[in-house]
Amino acid sequence: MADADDTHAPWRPERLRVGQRRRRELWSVWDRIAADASLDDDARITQLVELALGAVAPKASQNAGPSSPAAAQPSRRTASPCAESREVVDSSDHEASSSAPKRRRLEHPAAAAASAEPARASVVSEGFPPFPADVLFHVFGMLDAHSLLLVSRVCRQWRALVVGFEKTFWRGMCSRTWNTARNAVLGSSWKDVYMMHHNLHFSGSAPAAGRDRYLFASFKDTFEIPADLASRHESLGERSGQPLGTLPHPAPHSAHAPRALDHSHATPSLDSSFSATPAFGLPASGSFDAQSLETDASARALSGHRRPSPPTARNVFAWPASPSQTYTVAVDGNVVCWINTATHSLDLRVGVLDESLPAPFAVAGAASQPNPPQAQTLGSQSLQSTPEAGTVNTPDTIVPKHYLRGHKHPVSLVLANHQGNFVSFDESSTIIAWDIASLSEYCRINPTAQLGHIFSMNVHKRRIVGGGSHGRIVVWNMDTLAVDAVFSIPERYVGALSATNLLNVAIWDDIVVCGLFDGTFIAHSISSRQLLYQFSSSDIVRPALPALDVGRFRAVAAADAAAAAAAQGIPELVMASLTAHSPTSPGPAAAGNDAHGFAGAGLAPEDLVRHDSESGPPSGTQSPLLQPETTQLPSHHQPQHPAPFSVLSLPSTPLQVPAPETPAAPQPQDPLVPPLLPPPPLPQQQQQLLPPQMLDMQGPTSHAPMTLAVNGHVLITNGPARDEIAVWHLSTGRPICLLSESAALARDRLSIPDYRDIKFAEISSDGSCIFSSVMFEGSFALLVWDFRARRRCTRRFTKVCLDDSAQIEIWVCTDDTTV
Amino acid sequence: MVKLSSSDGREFVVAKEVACQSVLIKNMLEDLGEDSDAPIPLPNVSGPVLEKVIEYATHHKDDAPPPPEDDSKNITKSSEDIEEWDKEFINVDQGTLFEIILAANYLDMKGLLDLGCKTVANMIKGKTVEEIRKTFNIVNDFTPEEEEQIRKENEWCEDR
Repeated sequence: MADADDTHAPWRPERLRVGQRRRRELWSVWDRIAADASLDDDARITQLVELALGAVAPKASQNAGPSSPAAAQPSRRTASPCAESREVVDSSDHEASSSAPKRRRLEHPAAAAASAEPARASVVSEGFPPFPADVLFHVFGMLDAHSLLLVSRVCRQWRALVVGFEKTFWRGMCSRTWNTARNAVLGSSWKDVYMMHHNLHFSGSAPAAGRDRYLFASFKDTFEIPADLASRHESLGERSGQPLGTLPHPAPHSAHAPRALDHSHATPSLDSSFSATPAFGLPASGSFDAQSLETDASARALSGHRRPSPPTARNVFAWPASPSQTYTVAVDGNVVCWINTATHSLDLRVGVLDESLPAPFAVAGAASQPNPPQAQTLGSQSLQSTPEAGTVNTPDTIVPKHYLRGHKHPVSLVLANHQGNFVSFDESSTIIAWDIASLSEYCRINPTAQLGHIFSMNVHKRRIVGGGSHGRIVVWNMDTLAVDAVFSIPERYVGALSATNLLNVAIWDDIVVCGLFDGTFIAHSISSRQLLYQFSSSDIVRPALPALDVGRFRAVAAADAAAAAAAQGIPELVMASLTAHSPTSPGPAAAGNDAHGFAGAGLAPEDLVRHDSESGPPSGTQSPLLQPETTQLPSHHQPQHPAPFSVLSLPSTPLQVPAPETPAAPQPQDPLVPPLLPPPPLPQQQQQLLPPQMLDMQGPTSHAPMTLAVNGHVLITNGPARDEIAVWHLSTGRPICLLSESAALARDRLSIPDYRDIKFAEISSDGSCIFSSVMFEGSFALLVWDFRARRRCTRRFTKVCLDDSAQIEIWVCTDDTTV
Repeated sequence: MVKLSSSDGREFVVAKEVACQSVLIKNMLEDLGEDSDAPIPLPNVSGPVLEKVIEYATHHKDDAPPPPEDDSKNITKSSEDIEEWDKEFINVDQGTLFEIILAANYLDMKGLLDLGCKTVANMIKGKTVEEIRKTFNIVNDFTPEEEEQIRKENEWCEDR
């Protein structure tokens, strides 16, 4: 059955033997017909065939008689035009079928002979003759992201091809660049996903625009990051004009926050009206291979508008408002699980975030009355205010629907694996994995023999990793309870571990990372047991800002309360001022600490195992315990070139100067290494601008291993200053950028912000944002870095309260296309 | 041995395993049967191009067969890695490159098509839009308004 999408359909303009100009005219008519919603498929094909026949009729009649009947009877439809018009089309196009070319030649020797014509002409002329669309498709599939975007600007036909096969091109690019096989970001195309990952990696190095590609926000209460394509979604129309942050109760000390938000929102919004113009819709993106046809992409383009995402909502994360309650709340889909550490509760409470959405377990009315909670004697009193049957959630409070029981000691921590399990451990170090659907214990691990007292735990998919006082890191499979790997931390740390000198752990697929109290992070491959890399949170060299206009910057900084006016007054301010808030130059000190750097520490480059979850286990299975020589930390102050580091919020044009003495460790497998930056000394004056609290913060932060989160392509840790988050390349351990609220505000030409101590930060499971709760002068705020390239849905941050009695405030981040 | 006949009537005699790197020829041979020694007509491939194609097929005749394309996700690939011999082989003028690609497409020779397309992709990389148009003899058919729209839409690629 023929249809307009069939690439091999001979009536497609690119297959017609007509001049380029004529072909272009044909495309525009083709576009119109293809996008005409009033036609049914048959009528559309008929018209397209007529168009094609009309286009070639004059020439065809000169060449060969047999085409005339076909031209004269254009109304014969569907299957038959295919055969008829074959006589008049350019036979240079390939045909997979074995016999067709031969037959065609026999019928039309003249046409066949003419096929070499354009090629011959090209020898004379400068550029290429027009490539058939299927060859272009092939070529485009081999481009990098930058070039792919460029070719979509060349002409209509190319654009139609790129837009129509957007999913194919960008999904392929995602999987080969980011190893991402799944698009988990609501409403986002694969192109968006690619860019989101790119943004996570390279936010700091946006030279041309001097504008960073992430959205930063700091909030006190409910707020939204509106979809920036909202105007095209009827359902979102009203929201599009809202300023980014809605701050119903602006709290003190946050006077600058709304400004920051407005400014962030000022990034030019991307209008989808372009793709909604029928002329730009994909004329009829053919499939060159039925298997690979991205039907929805082409259908969307064909129908002339972006199909709005189905109205859905998705919880991106839930996170306690108080930094001290980190990891006491976990969310999996619509289900939230929390513990009340204040009352030393033995139970995990389970609630439903949005009662209008289905929960994986039965949430009946009276039947769901929670059984009275168990608690330690000490804490039992405070738990007696269990909600009564039939209690309806107020908008702001989530009552427990169920309790997960099994811990014999107060529960310390709970995590979700986003595959239907919560995992928790208690003060006796017992780990329990829970099955959410059945609300029952799934498995139980007692790690004491291996770990000693458990300090930290992380889960990814079916794997649980724990770190404990014995200085070991153990990886379990929660289905088989088998130990997948055991790693030991370097000997010198073992005795020093304590409740304050923690050992932190994180896991993603094959990679396990541990963080040590002095800011050292070590990554291993589970399958190969090998050390991948090791780095220190002080392996960071801040770029200085040669063009910094300190005087002007100080003017802004001093403006303080009147900063908005000040910022408006000097819009041309060169905002290369980030380092103004940074501690003293990390130059030599950081360089010294870099001794156990990425490719350093006697680790040959070939020892770096590239992370590839799809590939089988690398060869060379070694002892589960680390080889001593790989775990030994080299002494400090070993001469090593510090890794170049870009600070996220800088307009980095002046920073792109390649460092003359950068190590330039060849990383051919990674074409996306951030630009090398010089480690220049900080201008002296800048230090005068430091907020007082930060002046004494030299050397590694005391928060060293508190933040340790991985998401498949980046790893985040605390930064060298207490208000910073450092982002590292998960595969190589190379630094990528620093995130700080101060920097973001400075970028937005606002005053030097209040200094907020970031202890714990996390990456959302879809990788679309990094977030952290911070406390400043007694009030809590949420910091969010949103890395979505296009905000195709509204991201809403709502503060809710868990458990009337416990009053645990959490932030729930929801992506929502329904609004 | 297989006899191939180019569009300009030249005949080439090649080993069967060389000829069968073209899926088209392979299928035709199967259709025609073993005993036919009539030349296989390749009306879309000129003699000089067919010569190049045979040179490629001869060099690669011992290559492992390409993995089956069951995974439609892997349609895209990087244009970075090209073997040394291939690089030398494909170092031809644009007209020849164009004809080789069309021939590879027509003959269904995946390796050669990939090589040609990679080469074209590498020619696109690093060029401005206008340079790309020049290379491909394309006239900008966008209106200025449309062009501005697309530029905005693709702003992301500008600032890197």
